[in-house]
Amino acid sequence: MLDTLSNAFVLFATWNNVLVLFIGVIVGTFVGAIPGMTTPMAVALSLPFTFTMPPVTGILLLLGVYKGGIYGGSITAILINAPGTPAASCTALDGYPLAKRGEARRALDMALYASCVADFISNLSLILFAGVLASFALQFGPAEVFTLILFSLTIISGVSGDQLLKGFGSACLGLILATVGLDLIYGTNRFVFGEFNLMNGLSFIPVLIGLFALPEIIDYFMRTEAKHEQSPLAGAGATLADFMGSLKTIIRGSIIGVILGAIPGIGGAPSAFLSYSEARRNSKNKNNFGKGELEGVAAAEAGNNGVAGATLIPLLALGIPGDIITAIILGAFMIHGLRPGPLMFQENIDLIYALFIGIMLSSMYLLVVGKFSIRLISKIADVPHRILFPIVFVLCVFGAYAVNNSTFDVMVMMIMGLVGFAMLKLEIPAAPFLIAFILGPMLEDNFRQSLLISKGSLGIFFSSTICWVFWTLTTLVIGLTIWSAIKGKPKPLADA
Amino acid sequence: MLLRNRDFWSGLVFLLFGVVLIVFLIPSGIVEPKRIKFAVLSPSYYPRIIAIAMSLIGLAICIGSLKGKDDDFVTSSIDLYAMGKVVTVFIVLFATAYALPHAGFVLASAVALVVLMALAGERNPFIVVGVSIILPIVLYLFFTKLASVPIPGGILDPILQRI
Repeated sequence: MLDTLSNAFVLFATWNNVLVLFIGVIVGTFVGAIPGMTTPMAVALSLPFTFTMPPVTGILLLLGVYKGGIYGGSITAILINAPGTPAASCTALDGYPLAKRGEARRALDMALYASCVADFISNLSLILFAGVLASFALQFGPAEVFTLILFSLTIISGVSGDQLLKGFGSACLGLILATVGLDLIYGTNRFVFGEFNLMNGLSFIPVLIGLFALPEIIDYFMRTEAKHEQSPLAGAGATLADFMGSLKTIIRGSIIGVILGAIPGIGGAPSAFLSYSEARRNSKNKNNFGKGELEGVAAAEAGNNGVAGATLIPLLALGIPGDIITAIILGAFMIHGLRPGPLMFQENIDLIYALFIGIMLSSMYLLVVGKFSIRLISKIADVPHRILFPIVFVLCVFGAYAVNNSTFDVMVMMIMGLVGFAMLKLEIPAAPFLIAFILGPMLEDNFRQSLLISKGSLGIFFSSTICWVFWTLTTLVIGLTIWSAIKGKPKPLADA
Repeated sequence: MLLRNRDFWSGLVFLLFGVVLIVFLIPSGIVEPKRIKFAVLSPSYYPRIIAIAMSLIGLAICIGSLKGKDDDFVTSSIDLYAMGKVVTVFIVLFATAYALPHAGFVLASAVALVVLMALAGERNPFIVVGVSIILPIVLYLFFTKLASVPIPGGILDPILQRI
């Protein structure tokens, strides 16, 4: 154990890692603070810059962007009532009224402290639970892995807002796209149609950038740029008494974030709103919530940031990404020749511990970046979209090309942009598509491996208790989905 | 009215794509080996299951949408100006992708930046020209010099090589 830790420390303790993680947190915080720019977009655009980095450095950059992005979303939510991320919309409920009252600095400080504490608790839970889950997952054979992935896809599609069936349809599209290329067993062509560039299948990054960055750019040209009224960065900061008064709420919110974050597909927004509603239920000042209650800001940010480390638990332990960002990070692992999952805990434990060290450091960076750059970040949020989105487009082009040095990939990105834009307009969620696209080869591989073992008998998928547990859970999710569809569209948590 | 129902169109897309897969794309696009040990291991078995699932989901969405309310998706005030801009943006995006290998990344990106910023309404010539020149060059230098990714310079290659 000590040997592993010291090896991990050696692997982590390079100036490159320390610096790159810091840059990641800064970039993420700035991008998260720009309304219209999403954290997944920031992580996706950072991915091509990691190609030539060592695995730990590259993944730490993405984790820094991720963590910074989640916090950054709260800054504009408080200052201009324009959440940088969907989860930060909960922060705006009390943050913006506080800013309008001239207490912006106090709200921003509380958001920062709650974010850092929640992030720290979430990271701790990752370190404590990922290894345990991974050692349990070592018992999984191909049939168990197949049922696990199927369950994950069901739950991810099932939580696609109020578009449940569209989420399942979107996942099917991703699974079909993942079959393009050579067949896994026989090596024959599938959907290649004479285009040799398709023989290796579609690259993950052009699909990702096309689905998540391009539609936002195209959609921008359909709407007029919104003008925000910015509250001044006024008032005194949060005091120790403010922090101590909200500590219970922060810890409760962090735990909610950890629990919801560890379940694939839930994400930060439901966690923030659940933490907020629990805080309101338990607060002495419940009537003040929504009118500028500091505890409301703390609850929302704790719930939101509590998710950050916990979403990595299923990713590292099982190789299952819980949301778009962890799907991108999974892609980054794969680009560097690594496959997260139980075996990684045996074969690359140094790397995992090095990442853990970096993740813990990122919580401290968040505090430093948040404390000293708020004034500058509030200015960055003013960058007009008419300049920003064309710049993002050029970043997309270079990023898509750099994967395989192929202009074919740029064209794939453009086509996926077209598909993504159509999905945006038809309100088909893109997250299940991407996650299914990434998990597709693994799903099919385990499906067919199981059938090879069982000599073609489908009975293998019902041969163990673990398989039955996942089938039951999958049936339960589908059943609940159908039930809620029959009962009527679910009420968004925000309105609850 | 169906024309105004976003869910109906989404369902129809899934249903039609699923059917096209089953009827046309899978039979013509998947090469089956001469001998297959078990039918379930055939390269087309797994895609076919997904295609069937997608068709059923599409059908369920279509049926479900008939009960739902209309939305303002297709009719009600189509903004022709915005649509025109989006079509132009698509043309610019695909033209840029087409021009990349011929004109090179720096030139194609610079032209795309000028056009997109102009379309988006940026009128300050210093910003438009400055960003359009500096950004592609910075990205070119980052990828070629730092990341060792060979970015095609196209017709500007002789100049870029000297930087």
